[in-house]
Order: sequence, then C-alpha cells, then structure tokens
Amino acid sequence: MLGRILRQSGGISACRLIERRSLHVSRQLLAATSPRIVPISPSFFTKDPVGYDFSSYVESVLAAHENAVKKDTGAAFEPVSFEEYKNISGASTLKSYRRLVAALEQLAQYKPEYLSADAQELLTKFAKVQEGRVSNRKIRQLDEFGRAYGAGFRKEASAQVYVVKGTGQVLVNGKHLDVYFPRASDRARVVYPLEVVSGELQYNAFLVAKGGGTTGQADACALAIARALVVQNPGFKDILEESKCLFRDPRTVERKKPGRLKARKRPTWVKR
Amino acid sequence: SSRDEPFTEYELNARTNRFLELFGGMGSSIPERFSYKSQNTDPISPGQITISHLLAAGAHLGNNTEIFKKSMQPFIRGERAGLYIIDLEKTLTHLRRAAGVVRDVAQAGGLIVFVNSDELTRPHVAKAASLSRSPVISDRWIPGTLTNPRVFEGMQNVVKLSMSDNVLSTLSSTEHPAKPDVVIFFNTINNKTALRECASMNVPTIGIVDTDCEPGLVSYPIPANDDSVRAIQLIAGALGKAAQEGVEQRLS
Repeated sequence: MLGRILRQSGGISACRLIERRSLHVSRQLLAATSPRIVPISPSFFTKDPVGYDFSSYVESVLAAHENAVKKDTGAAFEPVSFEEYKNISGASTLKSYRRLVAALEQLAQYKPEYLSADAQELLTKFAKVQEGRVSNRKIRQLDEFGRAYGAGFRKEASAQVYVVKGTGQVLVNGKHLDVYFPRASDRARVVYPLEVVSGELQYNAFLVAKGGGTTGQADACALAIARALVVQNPGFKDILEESKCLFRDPRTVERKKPGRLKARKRPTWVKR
Repeated sequence: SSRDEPFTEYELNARTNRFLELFGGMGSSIPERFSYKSQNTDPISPGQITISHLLAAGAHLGNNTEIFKKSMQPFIRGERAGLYIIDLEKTLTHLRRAAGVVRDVAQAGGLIVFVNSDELTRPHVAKAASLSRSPVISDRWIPGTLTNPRVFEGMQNVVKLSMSDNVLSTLSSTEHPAKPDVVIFFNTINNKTALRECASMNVPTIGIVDTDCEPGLVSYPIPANDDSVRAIQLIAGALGKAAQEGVEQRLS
C-alpha cells in the first residue's frame, strides 16, 4: 500500500487511504515524502475569497453583540457605495457588499458604549462621507447701501426690485403701490411675500415694472420681492419656498395652430 | 417603615437574602445540559452522539411520502403524518462511518471541503470547518471548480505544507491548484453539478441524504433530515470534530 501511495505525484490520494484500519507509516517518512498543497483562505473555492472572508469576519463581529442594548431612536446607517467598498476591502462581488451593509445596519442600532472596537472601526470605515454639494452658483449679496436686488417675470411682464430695510413703503415705477395697482387683488399679490415673512413694516421696496399687463406685472413684482428677500435674509428661503412665493409661473399664451382659428378655437364644423 | 410605605433598599436586600436562604436550595439542577449555542464552539464528537440528540434535532423527519426516492427505502423506519421517518440507528452508523473517513483523511493530511447550501446553516458549517481549518463553499459551487479551475479575479495563494503543518513554500494557485480529498455536502439536491464533478474527478463525497434524495450520488450517504438547521448543525459539528481529531493525531 505504501508503494502505491508514494508513486502518486505530489501528494497522497485519499481515495486509496479510506480504510478504517490505522496507518502504520512512520511520521518522519510521511513528512519527508508527502508535502501537500493547501489553500490559505477558507473561501478558496469561491468566486470572491476576499469578499467571503471579509463577510465572515463582519458577521462574527456582529454575532459578538448579542447582548448589546439598542438605541431608542436613531438615524438609518448610510453605507459607502459599492465601488468604494470594493476599493477599501478588495472584494469583488455584490453579495459580500450586501452582507456587510446588513451587518452594519444592525450594528448601528446599538448604543455606542456597547460596541466593540472592531465594530466601531467597521462603522467609521464604511460610513458614507457626508459631503455638502459644491455649487458654482453665484449668490447675490447686499450692496454698499444694504439694498437687495431681485428680478421677477410673469407672462410678458418683468419687474426689478431693490429691497432695503425700512418702514414698509412700496413704490412701483415711481408711483405709490395703490396708484399703480388700483385693484386690491393685484396689491395683495405684490405684498404677499412680505406678509409671509412678517416684514410688511420692516422693508421698503422700489420696483420697476415693464411689459405685459396688470396682473402679469403684479405677479412679476411679487416674485422679484421674494427673491430679494432671500438675499436680505437667507433664513427666509424655507418659508418662502413652502408658500410657493419663489415659484416662477411658467404659463404663457398658447400659440395659434394651423387648421384652427386660435390656439384651441376650431372653425365651424360643416357636414359636407 | 410602616406598612403603607414602600420597602427601603436595606429592607429589600434583607428580604432577598431571607428568600434565598429559605428557597435557594429548592428546585432541580440540570447538570450537563445540552446547549445548541455551545455546539458551535465545542461540538459533540461522533462517538458521543446518541439517537436522543438526533431525535431532538429533528434528524428523523423525512420529506413528504409523495416525493420519495425508492432507493432510500432501506433507511426508512416508517410513515407518520404524511412524512417518512428515517431510521436513526442507520443515521448514527452512517454518520460514524463518514466521521471515520473524515478523521482518516485529516490524519493523512488530506484536504476536506465543506459545502453549505443554505444561508441559515452558514455560520454552523463555517464554524465546524474552522476547527480543522478546512475550506468552506458558502453559497454556490461554481461549475468547473474541479474540472476547469479558473483564475479568479485576484490571484490566490496556496502553501505547501509538510505533514507537521510547517510551511515549505508559498505558491500560486494557477500552477498548483488545490484539489480536495473529500467533499462534505449538507444538501445533495442543490448540488447535483458538484456531485457529478467530484465523481468524475475521483473525489469521494459525504452527504446528508433526505428521503427525496438519491443516496447513490454520494460515496458515504448519511440518511437524515436536510431541512432542519439543528440536525445540520449537529452533523456538521460531528464531522468537523472528527476532522479536528484527525489533525490532532497527525500533529502529535
């Protein structure tokens, strides 16, 4: 039997050795003649050994927190992206990423004082980096006199405004608000943004309105004032956004189409 | 304190002590209680497993009588509640035989591979395999693992070990693919490709066969319930322990 074993190239074939009788082979002889090839990683026969080994490690860390106390409330854990995970860990499959995310979401529910050092390291390493969005938009500032500029548009009308801290006077094209907008509804529209921020008596507005018609100019003025108020105090943005003062109404006159008399009006239908 | 007021801390402590004095010695003490949790860290060896253990783990519950492989007939004890009941005496003998195979292979320095098919049994099988530092296939047997070993993303390293587990050299798996010497399956139905590959490459296999499985597909079948996590934990632990014993005998 030993001769057959030794003639095998490389290592011992276990097929020949599956006999319940004991091996009477000297240990030194075996050591000298039968070195064997053994994989290092326990996940050698898988598609992603690094990923599987890492997942096993992460799940073992989680399993150690059986008796940890959970937080009362907590924000959901935001993990790094799959690409970033691959870079950090060296894994390649989505499966290992999903196992990591599931385990970290569990770990993030526990109170920090009950987390082991390994758990804390994993949570910081694979947490999404919160970056503020870098915007290239130019933000308007108050000028040297404390004036905030705003421009508004509605249909064919446009309005420009300078809003400055004052007592509540509103001038449109040099005229008083009541004079320029005789209709109460138009006046209400124009000062609505100031009402929303409770600043009717705190700001003065100087408006220049052009184009369009009465209502169009009124809406344009309202939008201009709203935009200027945001420049005056960026804290007003939320409330103005919520009350839709910063919404630029995109509705315009619909074009005339061929085969029709106006945008929608059709010529009289004739039977024949 | 008066009868209306709640107990002070001192009184509570005194009452607790008195209670323990009077009643502490009462009740039953259960020595050597079997715990499934400690099964992973210190499993029962195959020589110590009894039919009671297998019964408690639900290893005797076969599948529905309607999905039945006739070649499993020798292992069936009877029928109950629409299921075939597996004869646990046969389970035990076959388990001990398979454990002996695993022990001998480990003692001779062979490579034992555990193949797990279910997510629930993954930690148990992994722990059993780690006792002898054996590889585990956790999810899916990649077709061609034996017949067409490929280079996966990232080169893998293997080591050349002596019989006393001294590292002789570190090699690349592309030139020296590691070949298993016995493969252990815990579900034969989901691993048909793997079983076929092992058979074609002359690798002996051990597997848990349920009443709807073909026992002839594996070299050493163990008739048992493959749906019960407890049963698989028990059997994986026994085989892992056998491998550990084999390794210890080799190194001593």
